[in-house]
Amino acid sequence: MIEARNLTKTYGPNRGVRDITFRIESGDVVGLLGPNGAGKSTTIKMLTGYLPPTSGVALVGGFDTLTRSIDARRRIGYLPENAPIYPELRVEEYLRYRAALKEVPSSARKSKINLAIARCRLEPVRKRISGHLSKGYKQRLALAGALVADPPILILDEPTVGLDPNQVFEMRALIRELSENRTIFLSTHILPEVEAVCSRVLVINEGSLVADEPIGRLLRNASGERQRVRVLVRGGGPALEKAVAALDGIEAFTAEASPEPGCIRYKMEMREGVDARDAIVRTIINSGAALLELESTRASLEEVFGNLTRLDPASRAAGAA
Amino acid sequence: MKTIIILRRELIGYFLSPIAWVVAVVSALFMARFFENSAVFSRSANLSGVYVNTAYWLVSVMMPALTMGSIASEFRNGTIEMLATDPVRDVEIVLGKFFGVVAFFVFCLLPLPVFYVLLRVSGGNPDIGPVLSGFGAMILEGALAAAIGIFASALSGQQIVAFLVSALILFTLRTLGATEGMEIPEWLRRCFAYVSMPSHFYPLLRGRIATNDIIYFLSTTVLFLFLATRVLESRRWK
Repeated sequence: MIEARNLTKTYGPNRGVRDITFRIESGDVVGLLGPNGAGKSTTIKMLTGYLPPTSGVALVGGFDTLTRSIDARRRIGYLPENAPIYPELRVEEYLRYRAALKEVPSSARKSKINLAIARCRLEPVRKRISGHLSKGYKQRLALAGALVADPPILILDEPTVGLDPNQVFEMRALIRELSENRTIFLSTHILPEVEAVCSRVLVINEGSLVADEPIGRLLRNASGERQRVRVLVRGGGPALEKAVAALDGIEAFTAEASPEPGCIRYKMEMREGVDARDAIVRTIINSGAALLELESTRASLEEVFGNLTRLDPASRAAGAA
Repeated sequence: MKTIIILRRELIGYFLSPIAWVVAVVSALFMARFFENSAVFSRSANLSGVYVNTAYWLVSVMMPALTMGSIASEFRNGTIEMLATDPVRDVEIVLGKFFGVVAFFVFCLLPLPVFYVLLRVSGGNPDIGPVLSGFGAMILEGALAAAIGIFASALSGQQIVAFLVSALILFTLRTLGATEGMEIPEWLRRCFAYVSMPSHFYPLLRGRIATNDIIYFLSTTVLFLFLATRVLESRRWK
């Protein structure tokens, strides 16, 4: 459905993207994850045909986005990072304009616009002037515009950036709903976002693709097979710390102050293949301290990147295989 | 054709924008003043004085003002990314904007037919030929100015820069032919005369319709629209 072959875009000596190759099959929901400035938007702009690649080819629905641009664009609904709306147009007028540009036949236009309005929950504002809408509504209006011709492929550039937590939640729910019968490619710099909606993730860093794998595997690889826990203890002290650190399988152990009076938070990492949670709990309770919380922690985006970018290319390739 | 869809949105945009209404009202006031001058003070029973002044003052100022945002604002709103990824060609974008502004320009010229009616009812008998050919010349010149303005708007992201660039190009085309008393070779003088706008505008105003004058306006307009399309392409290719 979407294919990038050795896609390269050079701006200056160190910017742009280098030699990116991947394939997205019909019905996949794939996230492009990377820190700001990693080349996510550049990659997306090449896929949508907005930017021509310096070298390499981008194909959408089998059409080269450069030489068969119009055919490729007919298959894409694209939501750029900044919602492209005309502030002076009303919501309905904007959607009518997009529908006409996207060649929705005039007999079907009304029903398609109504469907897009219902999907993006724009009913309460359909008569409003788009320049007066909140950021969340503007974003949804732009998404409705991208959707109005019912394209088989949706490409979303940072769809939740700048939204408040409720709006982020709604946007993710909407993306999940839309993914039922569509191919979706979205970019983000937030790991939980990929976890929430994507089945597969491409990780990009400094213009190069550093990982392409199912989301579960990425998280497992990032933290290795190690267990990590965080506990909150009241009444702990040096004796307890010594006892816990001496347990078999504990590799890393750190203590930090907790805002609650008399409490300490400990972070522990276990050796690969070891589950010492049971022993940790017993040790704490036997020492006479109170165990208030215990939680398993997972890799953060920073760690995922840290691991992916520290690895040298050879072992990275081996890890992906 | 997507051009018509874009044209329609441009017109909606103009009729919703305060600046366009200001331009329309101010130009109507100016045209009324020109008409007063020529009909009441000079007691002339035709509209050529109004045409000359309108072409001279209004087109040079109002066209840059109407067109300065046409493409620059698409870049500012980020809507260019939408237009360029919807199935629309760059040339359709440029043509839609061009015909949109020309249509609005014709709307701004609506006082002119009213002046003709006023002349008739007040007992004048203006020759209809120059009235019509002059009106055509105004539209041809307005179209050329619109193409220049859209080209300038494609060049610059800033509206004020677009305004100045198109006003400068228009000024150059208007004054290039004024070479009397200058020590320049004859062939250069003829070149300047060919490129200058007034040398093609005045014959039309007098009712002398020559193909080469019409070709001058049409070809220059097409040239600037072509340049605007290329600039639009290259700007997003960076």
